[in-house]
Amino acid sequence: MDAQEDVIRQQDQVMTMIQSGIDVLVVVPVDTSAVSGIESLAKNANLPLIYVNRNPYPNENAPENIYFIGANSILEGETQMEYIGEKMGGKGNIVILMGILSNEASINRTQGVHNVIKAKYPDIKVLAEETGNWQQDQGMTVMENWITAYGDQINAVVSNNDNMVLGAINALESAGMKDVYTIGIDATTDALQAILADRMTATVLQDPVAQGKGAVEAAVKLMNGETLPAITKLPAELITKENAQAQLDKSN
Amino acid sequence: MAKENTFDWAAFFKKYGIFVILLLMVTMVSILRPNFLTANNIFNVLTQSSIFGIMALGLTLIIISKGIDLGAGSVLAFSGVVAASLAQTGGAMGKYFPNLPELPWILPVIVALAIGTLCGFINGSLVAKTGIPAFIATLGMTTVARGLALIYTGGRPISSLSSGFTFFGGKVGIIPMPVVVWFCAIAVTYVLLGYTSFGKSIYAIGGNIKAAEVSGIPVARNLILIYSFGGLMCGLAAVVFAGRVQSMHPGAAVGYELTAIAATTIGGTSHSGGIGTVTGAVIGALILGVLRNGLTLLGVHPYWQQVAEGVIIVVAVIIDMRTNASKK
Repeated sequence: MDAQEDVIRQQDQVMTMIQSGIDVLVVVPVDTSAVSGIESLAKNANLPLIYVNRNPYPNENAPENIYFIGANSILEGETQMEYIGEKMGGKGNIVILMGILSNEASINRTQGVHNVIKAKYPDIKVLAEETGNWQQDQGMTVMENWITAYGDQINAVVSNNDNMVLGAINALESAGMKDVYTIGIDATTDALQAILADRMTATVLQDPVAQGKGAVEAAVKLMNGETLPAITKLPAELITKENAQAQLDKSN
Repeated sequence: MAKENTFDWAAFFKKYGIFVILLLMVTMVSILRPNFLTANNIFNVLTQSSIFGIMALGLTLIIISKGIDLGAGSVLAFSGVVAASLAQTGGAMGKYFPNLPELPWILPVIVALAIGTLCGFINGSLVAKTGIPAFIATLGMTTVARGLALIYTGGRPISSLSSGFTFFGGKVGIIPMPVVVWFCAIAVTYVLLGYTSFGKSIYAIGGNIKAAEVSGIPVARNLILIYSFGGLMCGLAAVVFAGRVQSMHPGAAVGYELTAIAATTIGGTSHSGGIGTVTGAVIGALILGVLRNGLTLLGVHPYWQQVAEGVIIVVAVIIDMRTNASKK
């Protein structure tokens, strides 16, 4: 069921599903800070609850009978910055394009970027961070405005997803700025093609197929009475020009 | 002499209140950030305002008729993805229609405009024939058009668009085409609203629909035309959007109708119907464009940008209402 990013609609859907008689509840939470409704429904029905993709418990303190399977947003941000920091030779300025500001992925991916800068790259400065709401056109708009504000000071764009960084690349290309490093997350087909065409530096893979597969496997385990770790995090894989073609072949 | 001068200023402010607010904002940002007033940045602001600026033109007609269109963003996305699927380059990888050769740009453009107009036609027919509130009719369109966009694309973006099609999102020299398209649309809407009997009937319908009927205006037909024009503007905005981003995502332009409605409202178009201008909608769109651009140039934290945007919109409308009220 598709809740269209609406918290209340999702709660209603969960209620309908529980009434239709299910054994395990698998949910991609709309808003990771507003899951208590879903959780009390699951608890009252005595059903195990598996969250996929978006983790309401980043501090690993999930209540009993609640599980999470998905990418580690902080690790994704860290993977991005490790690579871009290395590319920049440990110094220069970056800008960060964030997703919807209240989303767990926006907060933690950005946190991951900051973690690496703080720990490893004291000479890299974050000029600005702003939201592009995960959208390509808004990433482009924000980048155009940053080019006006900071111009050649910008050495790299680190984005919470591929969509927004592709928009930023449009803006950079039309301003003739070819030497700016650009990195996203998701490894979308468009991003992989941009990397192969030398328009984009790299992306980080958050594998949706592995997540879905992991969720189904976990649900089957729970139904068979097996135990499951509260949190299963899938690794974050860096995709550069070297392995982009392989990933493109795999995803098509 | 001095007295005459102050009198002139007061009159000027009363007549052009919203324009003065725009100038004040421009002046403030320019003083704090001199690079705001570069040709490049001015074109940026105009380009960034053009998509919701075009949508605001259609919404101006609709809101003057005492209606609303909540589905504009979804209609943009739906007409955009269908047009984009017909605008892909010949050899593109993972094409929507794998065996389709590159079509001349005019075809996908016509498709975008036609789908937009059709959605508007449906909105207008629902409002005019069934008598349900425009709020409900277009709320239905919000989810239907978004759903169709997702069904059509399977949730995936459509890219590798032909250069002929993306021309309307690009630049000729330093002149951005989205701005040219917007200005043409402004001119057409301006004439339509101000210099045709159809335009005058919109004010009559919004002012008092019963009186409009009695005076012989074909209210139902004109309502359908008003919403169709709104849809046409969404289709046009979709062409600019796809050209600018060089790809079209079924989830694109979520919430853009609210930005367009805000632009129209800031520009002085009244939701109680019968009042509004094209110039107002243009200035309203520019105020929003300058605001977003300015806040980024000033380096305001993204959380605070949202707060500032909301506050400034409301304050601008209050000031404008006061100057309008003091006119009477």
